[in-house]
Amino acid sequence: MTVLRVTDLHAAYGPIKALHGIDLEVTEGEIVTLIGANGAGKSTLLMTICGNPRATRGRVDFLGEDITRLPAHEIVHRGVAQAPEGRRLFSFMSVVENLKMGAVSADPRHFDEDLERVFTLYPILRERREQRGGTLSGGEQQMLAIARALMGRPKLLLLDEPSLGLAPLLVKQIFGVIREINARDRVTVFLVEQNAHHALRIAHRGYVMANGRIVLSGSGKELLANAEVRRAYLEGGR
Amino acid sequence: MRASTVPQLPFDWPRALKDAGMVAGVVVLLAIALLGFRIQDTSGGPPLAYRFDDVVAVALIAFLGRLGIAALRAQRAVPVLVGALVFAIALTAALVLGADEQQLFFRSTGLNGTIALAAWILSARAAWLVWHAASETSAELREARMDRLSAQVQRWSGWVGPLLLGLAVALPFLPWIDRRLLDIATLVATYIMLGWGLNIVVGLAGLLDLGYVAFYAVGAYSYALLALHFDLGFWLCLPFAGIMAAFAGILLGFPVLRLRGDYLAIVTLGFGEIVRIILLNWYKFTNGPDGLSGIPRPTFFGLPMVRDAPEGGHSFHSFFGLEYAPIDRVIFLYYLAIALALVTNLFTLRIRKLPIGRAWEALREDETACRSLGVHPRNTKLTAFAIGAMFGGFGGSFFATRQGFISPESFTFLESAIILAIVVLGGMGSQIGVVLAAILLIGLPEVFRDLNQYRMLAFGVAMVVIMTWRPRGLLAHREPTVRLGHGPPEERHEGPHA
Ligand SMILES: Nc1ncnc2c1ncn2[C@@H]1O[C@H](COP(=O)(O)OP(=O)(O)OP(=O)(O)O)[C@@H](O)[C@H]1O
Ligand SMILES: [Mg+2]
Repeated sequence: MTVLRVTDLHAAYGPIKALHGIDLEVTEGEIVTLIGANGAGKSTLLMTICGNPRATRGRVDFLGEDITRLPAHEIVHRGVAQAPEGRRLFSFMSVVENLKMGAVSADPRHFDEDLERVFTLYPILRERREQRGGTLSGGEQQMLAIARALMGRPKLLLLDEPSLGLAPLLVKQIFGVIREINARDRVTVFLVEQNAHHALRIAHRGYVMANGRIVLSGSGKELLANAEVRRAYLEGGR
Repeated sequence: MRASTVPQLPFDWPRALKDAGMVAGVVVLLAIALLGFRIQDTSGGPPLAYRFDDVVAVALIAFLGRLGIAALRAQRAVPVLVGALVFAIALTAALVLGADEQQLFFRSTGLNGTIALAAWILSARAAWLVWHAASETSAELREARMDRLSAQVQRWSGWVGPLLLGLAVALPFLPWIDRRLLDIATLVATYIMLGWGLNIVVGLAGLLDLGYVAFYAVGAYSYALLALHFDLGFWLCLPFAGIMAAFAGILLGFPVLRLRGDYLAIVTLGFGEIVRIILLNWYKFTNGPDGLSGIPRPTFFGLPMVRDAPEGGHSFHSFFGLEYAPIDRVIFLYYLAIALALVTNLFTLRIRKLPIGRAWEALREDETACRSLGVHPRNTKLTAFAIGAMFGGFGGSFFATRQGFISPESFTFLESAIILAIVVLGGMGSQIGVVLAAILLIGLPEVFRDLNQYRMLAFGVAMVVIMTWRPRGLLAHREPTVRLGHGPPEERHEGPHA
């Protein structure tokens, strides 16, 4: 079943056009990776799916429903969660308070269970639960951002560069957890990454984006083997 | 804060002079219209008096002030400090000693006072720069120490709160308390309540509201009009007044809450003025500038606080078989204010732990993140606005019932500014900070009312000193609202708040 379908999507920041007609699809249970150079429009695509900025043309369907014109908070309540670029944690709030904010769109009766679940995924967060978001280390902050997005029990999880700025070991760990969330909790994941190598390895399928357009797509393996992708995103950049 | 790390740039005299000259020019244009002519009410003489000396004086001051600011920006703090301080002290001394108005800059004490205050602020700013340049590390240490103290106070709030409450309850029975002090205490309690109410809007939700007095006014007039026209008692009207004020909050909030920061502040400021002007001009309804009088006093669950019991009924004293004493009513009003303030505080403490309260704080920090987590920004802000307004309305009803008389004059922008100053000075979001700031800003000036001219001066100086000493407010610190079991305490060093 198609979870997310993006059709001919255009978006702009004032006069600057960032997306020029994006088409893509994410099917239930998949991990789909989007790679592309800096400024290609990856973050813009994720944010447009979430309703901010608004699409200037085209449409976004989530589970068969047109969500293009819905306000951002409504889209979240439909089951789309995002761990945005730059994490955007509430830095004066404790870890648990941040997680509570993530659970705004969820049934409060699930809270304890969901909290237990993310603490199992990221035991360090349990240790740090009283600490302020702003005083966590970068890696811990990234874990918290993902955990916060998971607290809403999303059907579709959008992750924007979760491995940014993390040590190799932590990168591995983050991708391990993404895989685990996907396999065990059946959360569909749409992942934007610079770390093409890791991302394509765990992805079922992938898209390559350049200058606001999708230029290539295929299974994770295919893309990893593709000469163009190797030249542009993999070689020397590992 | 990093004054010493900024390299000393050469001071660009021509540019600073030109800039100051331009400012002075603009000021002259404005001042000719505002100050240059005075309509005289002396019969016989010419109807207009020309006072161009005032215009020249104000232009000169604008010129010097602008030059001073430019010098400060260029890290030339010492000469500015000396100049501004000499000026401020001289003008203040002249004011305080009651020098002949003709010999000062202006013929209005208010103007002279304002200029003096501006000079004080400039010198405080300069002093701050000098001080920080001289001892930057010690300043940072001091900040950290104060932060730790704030954190400590918050941690102690478990017993500081009850202690303060006990003190407040015992206050009327302390031996040296007289009627005047009790009146002041009631006033302080009212402002504490208003501060806590506004704290919901400004401190928690982070919406800068410069027109809080509008809701205070709506509450006061709602109570007064309901009580006068429908003969309803205080306790019946109180919730109504709160609802009316909350409604006014929603009415204002609905169209303007998509605005941010400065824009929101300006619109709310305008709203406060609009409400006051409506009250002033809707003569039939509000009695205009004459105000409303004969507003009924509150009763003790239906028992009035009067000397002689109403016919066929009881007064408070006759019911309990007590001797009538006029001070009892003052004590009663005092307790009423404390009770209302307490309700506001308990409400705030409680709501901070609820999802809506957390959403307010999150919204203050990052609206985009909130939206992408499913928080409805406008509705969330609207609830903060409405609830803050409701407490403003309660405060207004209390004000009306205490005074027995209200008029639009009581609801000027100054009132909003004072309440906001209490919140900001206390440290945004800090409940105990509000108490401290209200005592400092309302209580002390009232206690020292005998000092007359010194009073407003001391107010200004105190405010400047506090803001220089602790720009984030006295007790700025935020404790998490959720605790799960006994997690390890925060170990990391806390960076300063943004
Ligand atoms: N708020 C904004 N206002 C104006 N232009 C923007 C804004 N955000 C992004 N852009 C522009 O839109 C284009 C796409 O940006 P986007 O952030 O989507 O790139 P990206 O693919 O996520 O890049 P990166 O890998 O560096 O995160 C860029 O040219 C960027 O400058
Ligand atoms: Mg990006």
